[in-house]
Amino acid sequence: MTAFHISLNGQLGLLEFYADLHSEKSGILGVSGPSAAGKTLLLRSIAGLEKKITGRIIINNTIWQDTERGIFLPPNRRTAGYVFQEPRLLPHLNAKKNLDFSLKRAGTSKNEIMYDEILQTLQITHCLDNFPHQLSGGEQQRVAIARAVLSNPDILLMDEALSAIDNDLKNSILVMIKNMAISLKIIVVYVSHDYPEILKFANYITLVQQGCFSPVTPPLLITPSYYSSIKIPYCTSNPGSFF
Amino acid sequence: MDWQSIFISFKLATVTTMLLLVICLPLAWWFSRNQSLYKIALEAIFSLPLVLPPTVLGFYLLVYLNPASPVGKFWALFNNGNLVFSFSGLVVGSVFYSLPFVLRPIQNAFENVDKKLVEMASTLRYSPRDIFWNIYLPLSKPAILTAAVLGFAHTLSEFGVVLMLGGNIPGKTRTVSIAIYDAVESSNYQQAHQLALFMLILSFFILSLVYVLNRKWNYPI
Repeated sequence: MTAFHISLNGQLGLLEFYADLHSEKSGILGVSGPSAAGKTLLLRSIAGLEKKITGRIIINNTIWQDTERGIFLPPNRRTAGYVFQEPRLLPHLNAKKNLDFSLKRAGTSKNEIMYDEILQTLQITHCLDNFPHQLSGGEQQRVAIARAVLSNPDILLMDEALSAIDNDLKNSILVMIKNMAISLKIIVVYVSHDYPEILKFANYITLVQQGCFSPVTPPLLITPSYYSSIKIPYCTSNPGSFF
Repeated sequence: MDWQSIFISFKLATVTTMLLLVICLPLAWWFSRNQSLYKIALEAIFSLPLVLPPTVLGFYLLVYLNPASPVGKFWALFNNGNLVFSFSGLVVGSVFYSLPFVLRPIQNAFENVDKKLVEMASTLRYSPRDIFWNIYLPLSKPAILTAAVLGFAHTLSEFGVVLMLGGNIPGKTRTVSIAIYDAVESSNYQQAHQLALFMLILSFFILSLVYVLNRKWNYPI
């Protein structure tokens, strides 16, 4: 099973996120909401980059965090791929070596067989010898996506990862990520301001306001009008039952 | 030309720089990650050679390394001869004297490594130790080179500590700076000129090399 029972009392006030995702489920979990609602905080908490959160995070039946039992796996022992808002490429390595940096710790990568396909879909095969400062912003971000995907993650976290990429390419990347998520049976947590985009690609959706997340639902249950009508936080201690 | 003094100076600077790199890399790494109060105290202690007159440092080293001291007695258990007035004693003194010149640049470079890259690497399953080897060291290469050259040059030019701790024993502890002083004292200005000019030209070339390498290794972001 994969489950998140996360609560954090921090700068944003209380952040609460409850979701039990059953093991047969995979695909894109879209997270949308206004700025400073806690979307990035959720991803950082799952990756283990926020130490102050309490709760329980189980990914593929492995406990990454269980505050009650004193378990907290450091980020390097969690198998979360993370595409940050900014590319974070290593400046002393060219694009190819930035990808190798990821592959080195990926073990026998399920994605290695998809290496060429990933690079082609992301349209970065032409610039593999270039150093980050020789790449455009969009190319840098695409290399960063490839790096996270190639790390053989059990869960892929994407934080506004496609905002610097033009629409046509964005669509094909999202299709590739969705197919990959389903074929490799992993969950992609995809954070975006762009609610219509999430509605289009996500298999499941949660909305966040002021640190509180709505129950995880298939996207059809939430319409844009419902989204815009939300006025109050919907913190709930009941795990989302739709997923 | 007094090649013997030149050789001793270079041997001393090389051995000291290598030892300092071995000591300062882990020390700077620890300092850059530690925020405790005793870190501040330790930083102040390690920076003392920056402000202390070399003779003060030389005097204390003479007191604590002499054959009657615990350190001197311990040294005598494993070695023939004394620590003071020996090349080994000079190395110990130089390590203390040049330590802040190597430690500070490396520590600054480690502290300036973008923590976002560290976070990124940790999500790619790099342990803190892996991150040291794969991110901190390569990104700090220019600073480590600068630190090594500063340590080398500072040891090469040291005078007070060498005189206090090593005396002026030809072929053993007489370095170039002592030899120049000695030549001037005995009015042998030709010898002083030769040695001084040699040091001047060599220092210029070493610094030029550092600037060239620093330019090559600086990564645009």
